[in-house]
Amino acid sequence: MSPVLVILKKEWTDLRRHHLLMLSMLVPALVFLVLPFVLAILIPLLDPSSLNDRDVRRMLELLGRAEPELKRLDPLVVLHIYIFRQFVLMFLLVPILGALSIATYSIVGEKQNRTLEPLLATPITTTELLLGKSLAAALPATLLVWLTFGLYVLGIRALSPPEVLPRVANPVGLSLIFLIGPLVAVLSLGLGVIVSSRAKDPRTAQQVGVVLILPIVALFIMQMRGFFSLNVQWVFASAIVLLGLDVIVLKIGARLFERETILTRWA
Amino acid sequence: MIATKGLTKAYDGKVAVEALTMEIRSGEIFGLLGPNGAGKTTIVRMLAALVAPTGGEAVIGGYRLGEQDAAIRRIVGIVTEAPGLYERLSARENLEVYARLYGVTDVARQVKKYLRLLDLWDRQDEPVGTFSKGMKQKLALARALVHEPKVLLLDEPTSGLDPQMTRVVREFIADLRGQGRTILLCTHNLDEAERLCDRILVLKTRPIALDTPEALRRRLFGRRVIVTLAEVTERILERVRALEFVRDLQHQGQQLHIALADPERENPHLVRALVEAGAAIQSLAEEEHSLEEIYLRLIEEEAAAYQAEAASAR
Ligand SMILES: Nc1ncnc2c1ncn2[C@@H]1O[C@H](COP(=O)(O)OP(=O)(O)O)[C@@H](O)[C@H]1O
Ligand SMILES: [Mg+2]
Repeated sequence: MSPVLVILKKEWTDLRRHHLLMLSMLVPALVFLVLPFVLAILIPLLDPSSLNDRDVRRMLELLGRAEPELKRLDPLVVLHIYIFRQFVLMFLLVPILGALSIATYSIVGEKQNRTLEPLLATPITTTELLLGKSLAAALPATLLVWLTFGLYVLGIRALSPPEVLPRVANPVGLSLIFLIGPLVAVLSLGLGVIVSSRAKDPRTAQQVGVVLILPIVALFIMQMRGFFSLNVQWVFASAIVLLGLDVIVLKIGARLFERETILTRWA
Repeated sequence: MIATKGLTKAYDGKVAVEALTMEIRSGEIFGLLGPNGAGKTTIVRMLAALVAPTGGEAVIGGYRLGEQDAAIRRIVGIVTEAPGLYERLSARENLEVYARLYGVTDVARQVKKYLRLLDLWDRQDEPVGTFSKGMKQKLALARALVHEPKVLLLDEPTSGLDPQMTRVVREFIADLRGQGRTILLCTHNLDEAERLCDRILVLKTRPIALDTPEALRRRLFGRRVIVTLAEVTERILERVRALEFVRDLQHQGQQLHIALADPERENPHLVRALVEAGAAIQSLAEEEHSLEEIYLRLIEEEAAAYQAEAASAR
């Protein structure tokens, strides 16, 4: 078995039994999955007047201006489209938080338990070790957001008017999840590796997540306020920028990930 | 099996190990004995190709440190200061990870062999987090051996264990002798070094003395016999002092402490002289020095030498 696979398997066995870490990944995914349904379905149902709210009307108008074809649809349908699209953006927090938690835990945790020294005494190369740990963080984080999005799609199909789903799972939505999702996961784990080299506690290391969460939240708010709306060109441009950042961050991580440095300076 | 020449390690200019030259023979248990901060762990880390020396060189199992590190890692097994086990993984899973990383061909067989040998078989599927300190240390030993390394590096393997577990671990190490493995044992426990090691290097940053436990003793204290008499008289003392092979004589109560160069040859003459002088000999024994005394003395000498050096530099 290749050393990368050995590490990957070990990390996953460990992760499966780390219930707190699993929960910390699953809870945000669950919240982002359920919240939009509450907003889109439950609120208009409980309080029909909310559709006439000034802010809501303004937003629907903005959306109609950007995409004239939406004007033909029922306002409730447009509200659904608006809410469900907004939350696709929030879904990006799932791979960010997930990859960050796993990466920082799997490095700082090994540091705390002093498991790195015997591990580094084996013939594994530091590149293999870093690769194993990176895959162990990036794969579940990415799969989790894909799975959440899958449930999201099923939910929308079951609970929303038929016009909604094609306009949420559209090229922008799909490329956010399937292209930007893995890219932010890698960025997040790379940053996780870098801060883990300094931090003594996984929670301290995880504070770096703010750096990644803030831009997403900013986009969320800007789009909500109608400052702009994401289109495919925007998404692809971000993908290229993210790819560049990923390469830089992984290179820095790999440079820090050196036997003697890990053992003597990371302590 | 292990040879070092002028091996030195400084961390940011602060010297942790200085000019270590030694040769560890194949199949021997070699002790590194020194107080905390003496550089034992640093030596182990260098020999395991975990940290790079800042000076000197080393050859381990024919491979040059710094050039053939991957090959060195393959033939070396290490028990680190902390057991460093994965607590959520079971004993078996911990060993499997390492067996695979070392490229062991029959993983299941090797894992089974060492789980049985270290008496962990019955608890192989329990998470290591539930293990006692002693069991963890046994598992760390199993992990170090799972790939059948030629060289075994043990960094204070009994520190922090209760007396019973200490004995178990020591007996296990003693049993490893004769399997052709070369063992480097770090300890600050003198008794342990004396019981287990064929040769001992006493060090404190710099090497201080290297020899067998018995030779270290002899070198520092010479040899003395203690003769207990019914009564010590002036006549007896004079007679003993007159013997040309007696290097030193002291007496306390009924006991004579006599320094000799070669007790096996000289004891019969000593006894005859005593009897002729009218002494009633109750017992005769050779004085025993614990390694502790040797150790303290060596460290003191080293400190004195260092101070003298510093004074002359001033
Ligand atoms: N990573 C490190 N950075 C700086 N100094 C270190 C480091 N590791 C050990 N030292 C220093 O090197 C010396 C030897 O330490 P060590 O090899 O751990 O001794 P021992 O194992 O005999 O107790 C000590 O003075 C210690 O403070
Ligand atoms: Mg030590």
